[in-house]
Amino acid sequence: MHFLKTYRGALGALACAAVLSACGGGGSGDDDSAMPETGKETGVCGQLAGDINQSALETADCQYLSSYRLFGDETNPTTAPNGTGIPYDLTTPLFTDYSSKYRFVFVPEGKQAQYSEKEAFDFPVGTVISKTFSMPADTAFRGFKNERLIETRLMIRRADGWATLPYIWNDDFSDATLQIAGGAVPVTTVHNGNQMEINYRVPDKTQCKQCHQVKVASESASEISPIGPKARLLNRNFNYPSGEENQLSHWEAAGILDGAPADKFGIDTIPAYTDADASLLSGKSDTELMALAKGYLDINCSHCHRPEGGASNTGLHLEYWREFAANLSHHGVCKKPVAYGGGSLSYDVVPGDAENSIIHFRMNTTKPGDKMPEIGRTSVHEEGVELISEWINRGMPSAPACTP
Amino acid sequence: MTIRKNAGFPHSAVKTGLVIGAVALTGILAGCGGSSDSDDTSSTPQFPEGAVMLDAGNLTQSAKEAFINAKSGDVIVFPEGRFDIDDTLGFDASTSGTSIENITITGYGKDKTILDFSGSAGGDGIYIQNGMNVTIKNIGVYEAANNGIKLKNTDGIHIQSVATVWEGALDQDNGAYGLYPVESQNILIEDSYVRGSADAGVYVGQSSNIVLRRNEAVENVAGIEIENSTNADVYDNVATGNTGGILVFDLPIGNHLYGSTVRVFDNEVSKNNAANFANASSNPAGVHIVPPGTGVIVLSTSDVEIYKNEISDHKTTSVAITSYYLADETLSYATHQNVIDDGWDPVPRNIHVHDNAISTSGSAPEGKLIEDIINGYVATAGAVPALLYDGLGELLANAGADPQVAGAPFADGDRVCAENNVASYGQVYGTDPSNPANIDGSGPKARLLFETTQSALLNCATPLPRLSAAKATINGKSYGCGSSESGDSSAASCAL
Repeated sequence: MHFLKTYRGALGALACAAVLSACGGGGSGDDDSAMPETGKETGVCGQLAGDINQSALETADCQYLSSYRLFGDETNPTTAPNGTGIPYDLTTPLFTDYSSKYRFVFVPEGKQAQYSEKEAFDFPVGTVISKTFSMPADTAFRGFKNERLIETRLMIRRADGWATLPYIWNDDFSDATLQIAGGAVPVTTVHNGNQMEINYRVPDKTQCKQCHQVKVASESASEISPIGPKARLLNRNFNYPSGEENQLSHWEAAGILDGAPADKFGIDTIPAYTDADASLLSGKSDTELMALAKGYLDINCSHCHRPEGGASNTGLHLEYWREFAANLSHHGVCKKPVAYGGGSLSYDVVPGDAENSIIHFRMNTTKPGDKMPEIGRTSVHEEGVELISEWINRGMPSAPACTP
Repeated sequence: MTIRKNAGFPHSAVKTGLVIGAVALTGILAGCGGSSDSDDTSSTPQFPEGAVMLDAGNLTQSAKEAFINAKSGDVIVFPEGRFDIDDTLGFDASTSGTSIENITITGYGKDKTILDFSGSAGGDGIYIQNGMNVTIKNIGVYEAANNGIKLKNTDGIHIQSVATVWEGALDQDNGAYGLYPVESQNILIEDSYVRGSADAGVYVGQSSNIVLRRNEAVENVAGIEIENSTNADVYDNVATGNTGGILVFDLPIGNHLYGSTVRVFDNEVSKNNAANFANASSNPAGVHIVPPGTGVIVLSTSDVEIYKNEISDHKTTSVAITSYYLADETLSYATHQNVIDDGWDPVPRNIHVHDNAISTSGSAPEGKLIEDIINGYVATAGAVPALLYDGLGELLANAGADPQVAGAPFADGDRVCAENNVASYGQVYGTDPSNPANIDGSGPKARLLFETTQSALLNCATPLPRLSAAKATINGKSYGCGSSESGDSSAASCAL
């Protein structure tokens, strides 16, 4: 895997040239002689200059994923990023129908993301985040060779903010095409020995923002923001070709992150929760269970369920850093739903009684209108439900009883 | 994609054969003076040059792409017919760094362009966010799993002649809200039709500057609900056949948005006697608590004026005004500290009910929440009052018994006052704390005060001032009684 090329400086110069060319009317056919194009697209999306097509990334929504040239093998977006690309993982991922996810960040040469304690890092213009969703034939055997590519989502930091572009892999997996209206992709997998038929849904461009939005104050604009690249989710080791290393340290060493604390142990980090951990829940202490559950709710819910998010009107605030005991109602404890008319249950969380908690009910259904999250899954995350059940039933012994 | 050309009669929703449905239907046609007829027979609507005409052959994708690619000023036209839509149709006006303003979403008529979401993968029908000056008109949204049309964080909403409908039996699995603006400002909803929602047909939540007029809310749990909102005028609407007609609620949400200054006037509120088909959760303030057969309810909201309405044929009560104490026995500073500190006030103050024509009330009272009250009144007075006030919050405030929750003792301007309503009056608790019959060391005591004709109850020596009129400003133009709008066919209501 060559995610760090030695000729980054030269690449940067080429990318600059490409940008200038694009500004000067690139995109018309006039540049053919100076700027060779691929056969697939014309204009800036067809340019071949640079290792990745930075000018297209910053200015155009290309029809084909391959036009951006983000990966060494355009049919495999799970490895070998071009340019400055670096792979990364989150401590605990958002659940998406048991698919595998392959994430890369491409920060333009010489630029840096600014560290933030609580929010997603502030990435410079030109940054690309690529996330590919791929379904294994059996979730016990993940990896590109055993999987079917579904979609690759790009978030691109342009001069006017983040753009979200959903690409769906075509039938022969030779390329992925931009589908701003999203789409349905029927897939199958085997999970814990059970066959699953999944009518996987690729979100449309508006739905991208349904989760990826932050409105800092009531008078400020609602803006698109990444969700995953936050300190509390990135602060873990990753197995790089050069060896295992803390991701934040690696980003600092690669020169793409500025302002992170020297002491990574001091960062309040969401603990890892994998599907295999579900069977270990009974052995977790209350404190461990609280951290696991709050971490799961953070990555799966808090992008909307926060005062700055799409579900601000619900009063449910599930950021990992929000202290539980001092914010019981914001965690749903004995809180009546505000905007949910369905179900026969009374409270978001009834301590000691998961079966009668709305959070559990809505996680445990696939029915539109009832299911949570509203988008991004069509099946139930059994292991997630088990975690939240255990948390509600056992993990909050000091929470009050709800008295109707 | 199935296309059913024959959208049918606009209110074909009422095909259940329920007697109440047929009655309601007759009522609507009579009530709206044939205006819906003229809608039905009007010639093909004219759309401006450059309007985005959606592809009937692939409507879900075509609509999504039009919403995503929208530019300021776009008029997006759904075709005529009935169409199955596969997913929520979302429009976010603030996705590309610049705000997209002044979008119009339209069809050929609320009974001619029908989007059927019964097979949709999404919860909401149409979901609009972060908009500025959005117009939706002449379209019907049917069978959404959750909400028909939801709008969030949008300044300037004009909904005109839109239908949100759940057909068939009134069922708890119907969607929650029909027309649902939330955390929004400057909202005008007019000439629209909502039917069958298992929560509220028109539900305006956590919003401000609201004008609702000439809408028909039929056979929902709540017909029209104003929740945690300020500066709202609800007038010249018809609410009939719902469980409760018009609700003004203030709920403990905890996001700094609480209601006040709501006027409900010149509405026809009748026969809201449907069985409550909301989900029977024990959420203290869910609409499932609405007693079937209730005309107008004020819960916890302060500064509300209810006047010149025709409120008829309600089998439980016509107008109910209550603090949150009645809805939630556990209400205390300990249980609600977050929201009380956030600004929520569970005790309604400055409520003015006057000049309403109230008739035929309390013929067969029911309602689990107020069962004790009903039984008590039936036993002591032989009837449930047509105008019912709990008095409990005011009593506790006056007694200083629960100051963090109930607030300061009532001043004259805080009172609940009523005049010129020909109706029986009732008050569950007396409000004078110096009277040991009202409260003593063991706590407040229900008095079940009753007057066949008003004498002392809610009779204020100091008249309450009238509330100011609301207006909604959309695209630079203001609508409603608080504006200088001309040509409003409901202008007469404003003069009342």
